[in-house]
Amino acid sequence: MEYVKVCYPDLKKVLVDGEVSGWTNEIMRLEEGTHTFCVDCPRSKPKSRTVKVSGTDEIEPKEVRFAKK
Amino acid sequence: MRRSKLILCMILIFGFSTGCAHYLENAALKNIKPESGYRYKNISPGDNSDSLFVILTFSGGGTRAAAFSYGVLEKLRDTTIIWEGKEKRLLDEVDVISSVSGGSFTAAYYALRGDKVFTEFEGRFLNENIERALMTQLFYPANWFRLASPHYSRIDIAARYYDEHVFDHATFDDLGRKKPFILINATDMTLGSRFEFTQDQFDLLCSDMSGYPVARAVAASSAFPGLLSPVSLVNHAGKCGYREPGWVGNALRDRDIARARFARASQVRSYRDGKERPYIHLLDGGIADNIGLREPMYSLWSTDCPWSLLRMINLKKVHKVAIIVVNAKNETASAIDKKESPPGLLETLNVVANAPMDNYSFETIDLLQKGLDQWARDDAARKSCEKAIRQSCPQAALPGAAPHEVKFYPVVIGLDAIPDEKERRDLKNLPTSFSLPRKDTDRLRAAAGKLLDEAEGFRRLRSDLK
Repeated sequence: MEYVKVCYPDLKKVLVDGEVSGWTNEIMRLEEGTHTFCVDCPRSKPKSRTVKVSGTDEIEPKEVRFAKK
Repeated sequence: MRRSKLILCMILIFGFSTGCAHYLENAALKNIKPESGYRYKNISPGDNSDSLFVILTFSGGGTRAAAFSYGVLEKLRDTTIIWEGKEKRLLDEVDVISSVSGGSFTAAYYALRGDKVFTEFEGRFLNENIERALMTQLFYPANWFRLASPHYSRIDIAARYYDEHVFDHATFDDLGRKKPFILINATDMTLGSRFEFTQDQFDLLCSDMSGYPVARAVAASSAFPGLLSPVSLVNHAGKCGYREPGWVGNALRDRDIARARFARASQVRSYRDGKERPYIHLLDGGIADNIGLREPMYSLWSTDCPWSLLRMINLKKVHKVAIIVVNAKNETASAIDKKESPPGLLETLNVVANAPMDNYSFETIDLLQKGLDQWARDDAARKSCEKAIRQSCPQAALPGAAPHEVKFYPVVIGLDAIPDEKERRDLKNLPTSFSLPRKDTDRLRAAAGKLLDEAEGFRRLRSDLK
């Protein structure tokens, strides 16, 4: 199991590979591998991020950052 | 003379018409419609909460498995719980049933008929000599002509029988949009992997599953190699505007770090080439997973699964998860070690067919337990770290809010856990067939209820739901 925190100024749902899969600023659990994240599209910058998620744990999750446009 | 010519002519017409028999083809789909079809997201929860998520898996094993899993349904019907302030039957909280082979008869019948399963199933399947009925079908002249066709085989006769005598011509449309969502598992002969009868899977073939008979899905799930022929599907891929899920392209980059995910993505792609694979042939689901647990595990560990439990957990919709694995694996006494001469072909084939399935089932259950243990260890590590930080550096914090906490209740019941030695030996010695004496199906049902009652995970679940 891998752990990811998607950072964004607002509380929003997070799309992982096109499916609503979690909330911003909370740690979500994901399967190891490459995932595309999207938040509050199209008001976020960048629109999406594709990240390889591997070797994480609950204490040190992978952080994926988005800003508001 | 004229009369005998007429009879001969009629026989020939009858022979030609049945001799051109063809298996029932799955319909093509013009356009993908995510809002329709038999998929988890289109199922209405009704009074069934998502917050308590109950998954049942029913193994293969012919009538033995059907009776054992039926006993579990009876026990869940008789188990009262309190959840979110409401008193209800635990059976009414079952969300998903993943089934294989013999277990698929119980799962499909319950999904179609609801509580009527408890008054109808015994008479229509459990205590019927299905094996004899199928053999009798082979003596019908109409079936001789049908079997002469290269497009019609023994499995089609079996499916037709189940359709008429067990499932009343029900299609996947008749399953409606109510829980439990059933996953009837078969095995794709080319890939050797699971093939589930869901619209999400049929989307890959550009095929509409709504009019497909449930009986054919159950027949595919129980098409034991050699005994029954495979169920064939037409792959209409490339004609319905199918759009691949987002995870597939990403997973195909993951050959080195996530091999299982890469393999799943490759399998998805293999269906998309309708020219390379114009037909898909399905065998007994037990070849790919004889306990029906792999799909629920996929749902639990991955957000890629169309009914991903992991997604629901991340979204905080689910608080408790019970996974009840009903494994009717037998162990018929073998005399081969008592003989000096080497075992014959049939004895050898029996081992070749069953030993890999049994070993794989054992590993699957082990994998589930290890995965849940790791989940608990990860949560505990974060909690102890948070506690240490609070004590030594109160102003500091770990990154992000902790992931949503879920309580798991894994329950595995199998015939090898029956405490009474004689009962255990007797029931484990029951063969895999579609015909068992009533006294044996009654014993299996009773054993299932008792084993569930005594299982540690089930006791914990009941105690937490009072």
